[in-house]
Amino acid sequence: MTGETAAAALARRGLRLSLLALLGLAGVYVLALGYTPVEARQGMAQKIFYLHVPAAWSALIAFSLVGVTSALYLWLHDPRLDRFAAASAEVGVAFSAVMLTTGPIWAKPIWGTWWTWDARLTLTLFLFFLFIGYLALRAAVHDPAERARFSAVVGILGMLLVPFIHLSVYLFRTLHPQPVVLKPSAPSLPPEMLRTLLIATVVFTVLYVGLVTLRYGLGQLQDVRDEAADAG
Amino acid sequence: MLAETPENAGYMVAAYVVTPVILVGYLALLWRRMGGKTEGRKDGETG
Repeated sequence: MTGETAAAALARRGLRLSLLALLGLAGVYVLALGYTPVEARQGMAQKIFYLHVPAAWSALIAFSLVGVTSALYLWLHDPRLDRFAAASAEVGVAFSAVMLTTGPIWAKPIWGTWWTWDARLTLTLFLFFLFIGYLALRAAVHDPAERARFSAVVGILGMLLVPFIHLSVYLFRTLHPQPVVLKPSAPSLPPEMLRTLLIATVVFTVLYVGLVTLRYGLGQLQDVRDEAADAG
Repeated sequence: MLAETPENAGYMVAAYVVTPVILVGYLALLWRRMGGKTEGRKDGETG
């Protein structure tokens, strides 16, 4: 199997997994709307929770993995690590877009405002813009080794924001609620809500894996072609 | 007395529409890129 065929096969596997995850997302809609109870104080708007939280989870995992693989790239200089970081950053931006649109839509009926410049929201928006910058940097630098080195530094700096974002609700006064699952004590949710949230998180994680696999395969395909062009 | 549950289903509908629009839109973008690259190979493109 040539490099080009292997990359195309990987991209197709990613596409299939992503489509499967989108079917899972339809299942999450059925669960959230038909199975989980309506929260008494927040009403139907609370059901945004089953999309907003898993999207935030996937985005923060994506950006954390960009940082880890970027650090490993600076150490090992393996182009596969740079390719993974690029794929994870792009997919992370897509999940961040979901997080940053569903968040204000949920905030408006509950907080009475679309947006507030508190630590959690501001840092998250900053992280989003930082990774937009990361993608712009990758598009602007054409030498592969330079591109990988420069973007690895930005990727590591982006990862450093992730723990601050998670802990910001403890460190600063904020309207944003504290974690209900990822916290030292037991999850503070009724079982039906917790089950739906966990299933949604699994579905979003599978979607992350599918999209990154697809994006990685496309990156590999491009690299194989660039190498062939350079050799020819 | 229990407080009345607020009527705010419209916000939920908006969030449940915008999420697949973003995710399926991004997947479609990747799909298009994939199609372009496969087409390039069919055309015998080397670069």
